[in-house]
Amino acid sequence: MSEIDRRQLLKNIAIMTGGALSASVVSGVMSGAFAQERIDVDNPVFSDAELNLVAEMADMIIPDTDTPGAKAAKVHQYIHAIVGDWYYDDERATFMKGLHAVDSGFMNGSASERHAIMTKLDNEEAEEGKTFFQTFKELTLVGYFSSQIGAEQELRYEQYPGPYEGCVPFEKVGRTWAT
Amino acid sequence: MAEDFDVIVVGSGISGGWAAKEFCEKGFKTLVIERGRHVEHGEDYIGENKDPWEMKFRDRVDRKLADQRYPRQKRCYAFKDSTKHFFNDDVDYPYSVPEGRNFEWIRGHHLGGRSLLWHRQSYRWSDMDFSSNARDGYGTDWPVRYKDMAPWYDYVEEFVGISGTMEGMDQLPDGKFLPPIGFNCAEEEFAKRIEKAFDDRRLIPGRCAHLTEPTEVHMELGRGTCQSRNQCQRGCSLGAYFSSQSATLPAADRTGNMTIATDSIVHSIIYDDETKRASGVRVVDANTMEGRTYSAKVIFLCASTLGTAQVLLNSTSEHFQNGFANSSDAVGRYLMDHLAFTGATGELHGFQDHYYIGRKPNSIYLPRFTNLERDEEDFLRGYAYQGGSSRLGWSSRLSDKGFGADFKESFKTPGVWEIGLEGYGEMLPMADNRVTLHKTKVDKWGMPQLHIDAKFGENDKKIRKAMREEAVKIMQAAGLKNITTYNTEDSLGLSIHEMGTARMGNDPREAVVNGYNQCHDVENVFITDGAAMASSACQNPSLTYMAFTARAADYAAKQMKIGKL
Ligand SMILES: Cc1cc2nc3c(=O)[nH]c(=O)nc-3n(C[C@H](O)[C@H](O)[C@H](O)COP(=O)(O)OP(=O)(O)OC[C@H]3O[C@@H](n4cnc5c(N)ncnc54)[C@H](O)[C@@H]3O)c2cc1C
Ligand code: SF4
Repeated sequence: MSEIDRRQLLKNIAIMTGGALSASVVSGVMSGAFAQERIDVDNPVFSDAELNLVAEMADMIIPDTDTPGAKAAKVHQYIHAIVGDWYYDDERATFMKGLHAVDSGFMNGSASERHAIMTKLDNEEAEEGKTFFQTFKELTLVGYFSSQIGAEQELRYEQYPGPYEGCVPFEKVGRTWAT
Repeated sequence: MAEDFDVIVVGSGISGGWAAKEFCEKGFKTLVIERGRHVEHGEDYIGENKDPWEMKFRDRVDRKLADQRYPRQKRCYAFKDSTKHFFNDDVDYPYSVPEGRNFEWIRGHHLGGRSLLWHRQSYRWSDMDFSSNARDGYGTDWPVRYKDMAPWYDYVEEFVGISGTMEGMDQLPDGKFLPPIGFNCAEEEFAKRIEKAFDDRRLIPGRCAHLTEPTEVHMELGRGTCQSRNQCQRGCSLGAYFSSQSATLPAADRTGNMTIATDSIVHSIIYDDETKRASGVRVVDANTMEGRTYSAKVIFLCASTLGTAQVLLNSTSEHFQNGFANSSDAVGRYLMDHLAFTGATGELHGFQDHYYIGRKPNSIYLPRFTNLERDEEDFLRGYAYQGGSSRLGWSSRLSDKGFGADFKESFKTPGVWEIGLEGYGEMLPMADNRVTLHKTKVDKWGMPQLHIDAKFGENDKKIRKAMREEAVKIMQAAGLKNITTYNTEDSLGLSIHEMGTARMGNDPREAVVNGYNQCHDVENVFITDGAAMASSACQNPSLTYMAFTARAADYAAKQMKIGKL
């Protein structure tokens, strides 16, 4: 949320709560004032080419439409952070192996070849656990729908929804709540 | 000798906050001793207002950190990147369990204790609950009945602000409610269908400590209306849910009678052989490790069920060789938690053109319906359900097939209404479910570690099974689809309703405190947190701790005023 958004938010809260904003409300809301989208990778394990491949694949799962897709939402950076910083060694090795298996064919392929590769990957079933692509898609979806673009533009998100309304016509919301 | 204070309150969580408020408002100089750090309302809620994308792992706790430092706390559903600073680091706060048994002790040592973390579900106990021990013989008879507690429930509810509906059910007495945070479309329909299918079961909106319409009492303290963010455990600077920070501590503070000592670990209570009273407490400074003592006329122990047990067991003297006020040998015994983490989920089809606004911070509730008048089941006591409904979103579709523009578009429309019912069952008080001090292990401040040895009994297991099976029956009768059950057997402690380690009862040979939460053995020490509970009922207990605390403070204050304490 930008600083301007937060100031607007304070105004809204003031209206909703009858005007009297205590110091703690103001400090609570403003404390995140300069918070940024956070995806810094401490252990960058992807080469530029690998990062590019991840970005391209994620963008084929969630492409640009009337709203920006995975690449614009920096989903590849989120995946980088998970693979580099969240995964334990064995999980990282498995992921990298899966990624390398896609590698050359995909990046050198035409649009239709890429589509064929993705379709094949999407239809693979794991003997146990998940296939590489199932993991990859999961990360893509989490990364996208929890990004600002995914949550606010593609879906709907409100930090302060206001008093709960349990049953309203769908049009009043319009899209799925991101969270 | 002049005492430093009139009253010492150990702990600043839900119970301690209430004790502080009551004594300060009655004009007593009160010292609140808290082992953890200071947490300032608003300012220290560092996770509040964070959007998912502002957190690297999108509100999940860095897994390596969680695995290394929080192997127990991470099992709590509320343990997130935006809340983790309100949970204890398990490495710094160790305890032990016997081989092959487990107990998850979920907690946060800081000003406000778990009042910041609780889920705010607040239900009165009924006369059936206070009579249960007498009825079937498990546990000591409660010295109180519902009529003794009712005025105190009224009293605390008005200050706390509980939203709910009047239902007229004997097993779940009504209270002083603010307007409810009500049903959504699917819950409403589910409730209707249950009502049709069963004579003995009714689904009602949860009762929760959220301000839906703040009164003067709340607004004076700067508390505002709930905005349904459902991120309460990050702290709420609107003060829209009840916590020590939002309510009891500021009320105590404005009297000018409260002193707070944070980073001060109560090591033990000092017993005076001559007066046969407690003269004060020994404290270890959490930062400098230095020792100090504080004295007072009256001591209220509100360090939470297990925290209080630890202090009592660690307070040995010539007179009390096996723990303070422990001539009954009940200290540390009869540990209970609620039976939960089992239930069912199902889909309610229809209402696809309807949705909701807000992340509902409240539950639905299906009050107890078994063994009400007499024992008819193959188990004693009973259980209730909590739960809720939402339309499924992207997070339930992570393994869907597909990719591309249409796939992306499909997430814009939410899925079916999914309903969950989770059992909350009553656990019987058993003497062998017990905490002791570990013989050799100490923590980094030199306090002996707690050794927690507890397990589910036969009755508990029967209830767990019944909760699961009946949830399915209820859902089937209500026409839900795709019903599935779940069960986490290794969940003792995870309900975070631990109770019973210094139980209440009339007989000093069997119980630690009397009907006013006053130690039988030492008249100026009171225990008003969950330790004093003689049974567990199946309702969330914190509201009852509040009522007991306010009532005990009233009693102690009157005794002090007439010079008896
Ligand atoms: C995630 C979660 C959800 C919950 N949901 C609900 C719910 O919906 N409804 C409900 O009724 N309950 C709920 N609970 C339980 C509720 O939080 C507790 O019952 C309640 O906080 C207990 O109050 P207390 O004052 O006894 O203990 P606490 O709130 O734990 O406070 C005890 C305080 O004492 C301090 N202390 C401990 N030892 C010492 C010592 N030696 N010296 C000095 N200070 C000490 C601690 O640091 C702490 O601040 C929930 C808890 C959690 C964590
Ligand atoms: S749901 Fe209500 S109480 Fe909880 S954080 Fe939001 S405004 Fe505060």
